[in-house]
Amino acid sequence: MTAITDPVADYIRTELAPQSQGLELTPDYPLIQAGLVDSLGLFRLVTFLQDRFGIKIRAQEIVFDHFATLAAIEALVVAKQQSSEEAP
Amino acid sequence: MNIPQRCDVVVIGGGPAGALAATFLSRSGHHVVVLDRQHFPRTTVGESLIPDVWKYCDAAGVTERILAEGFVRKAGGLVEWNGEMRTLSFRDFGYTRPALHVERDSFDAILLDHAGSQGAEVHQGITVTRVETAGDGEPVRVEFRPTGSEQLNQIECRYVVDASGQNALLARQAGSRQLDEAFRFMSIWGYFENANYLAVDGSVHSAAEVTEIAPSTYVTNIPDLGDWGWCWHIALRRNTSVGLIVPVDAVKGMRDEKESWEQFYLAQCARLPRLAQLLAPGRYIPGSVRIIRNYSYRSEQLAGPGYYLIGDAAGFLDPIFSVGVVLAMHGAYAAAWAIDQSLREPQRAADYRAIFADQLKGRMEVSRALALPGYQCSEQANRLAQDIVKLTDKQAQALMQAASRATARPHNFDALLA
Repeated sequence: MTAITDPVADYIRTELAPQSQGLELTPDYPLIQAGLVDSLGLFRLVTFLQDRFGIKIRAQEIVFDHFATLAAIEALVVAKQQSSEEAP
Repeated sequence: MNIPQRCDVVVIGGGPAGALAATFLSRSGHHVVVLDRQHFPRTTVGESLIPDVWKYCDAAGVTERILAEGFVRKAGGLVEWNGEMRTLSFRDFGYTRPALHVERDSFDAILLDHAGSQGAEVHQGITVTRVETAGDGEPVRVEFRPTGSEQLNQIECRYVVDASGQNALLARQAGSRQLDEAFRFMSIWGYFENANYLAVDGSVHSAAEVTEIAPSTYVTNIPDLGDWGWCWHIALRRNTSVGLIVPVDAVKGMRDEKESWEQFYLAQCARLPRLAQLLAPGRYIPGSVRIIRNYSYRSEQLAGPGYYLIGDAAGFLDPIFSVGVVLAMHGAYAAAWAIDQSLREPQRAADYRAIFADQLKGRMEVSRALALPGYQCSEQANRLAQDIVKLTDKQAQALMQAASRATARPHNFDALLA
């Protein structure tokens, strides 16, 4: 686990899906398909990621490929952090 | 209670969409004013709710109150299409909480009362006549008058949420309401006392058993009304709601008076064999027939600077899978989220309304694909719908797929899954 996936996993376990308390959330655990991040949780997760990692998530980025797993979320956060560093 | 001159958010309409949006926004600490032209409780149609409703009730903090009311818990749906009966049992898809059959006057009144208890200012008997929006960050002016009076007044706010139902106030005002000309239908419905009902295993039960043995919503197509006329049977606590969805063309030339509608309605009910059997021990409640000319429509733009559209004000579809209220609640949650974010970060207001609009449009498009027999949509809408299906958990996906099969309309949904 990493500095990105750890806090995201914590947030999912404590805030979005209390039923997942005992689950080991591996980087490729299917968060969406298993229902841990549902249609309401997705909005809250966007707020969490923005506030925690200082990124701006846009409408076209809220798709399955960016939120399917912890690994996918990490890749999105890293990409957003790099692109904002390069911005003037 | 006087209506204030300004607030953070004005919500037009106190139905499920408006009541939940007001609840979520009030719970986030915003000053919310709800205006509804009617006085609650008021009757409306749409009595069958799928189990997804609990997610939104939980988020709104209203679950205990809904449970305490003791609405009829339903186990699933029985769908008889072209003579073939299919069962959709929520339990088979892993749902642990029941779906509901609700009297909408009680259900909606609980939600609106709850909004008030969470801090929203609710004003009933107030008709909104006009909304003036300007650019991002500019105040929105909402003009209103007491229903039945000419005395105009106005309130200024930062955001307006149009949850005005089929009045679709903002979309009509902007001329962006798109009728689905191919799907012009009307609902004709009424109530029966002491009618029998079907449980999810297909067994027949008497009205007195409805709180003991969970009923199923029974729907069947009406064979000679094209490929999208159908009928519902929803067992409630004190009576049974029976309704027809009828293409407008099928009743062309009929006299527009209650007696004619009643005659047509009862004749149709008698012609559907299984329905007629269920209704046989019961009695039609005289005068209970009502009609709504609900054309299928969508509002082209779901949000803009200072405004959001949710519930039936955003769009109305064929109600076959009972998703109307849940879709309304989803819109309420999404709009409240986007408005809360925008109030915290005004410079990103455009981003947040794009997120809201994409999510809601995609979800509406999925429902449209499930509901309509012949179906076409734009490439953009199709992409949004495919994204939403992918963002749906496996259990709900399986239920949607089974539902699309049950009404012999699987091709639209299969195309979204591809």
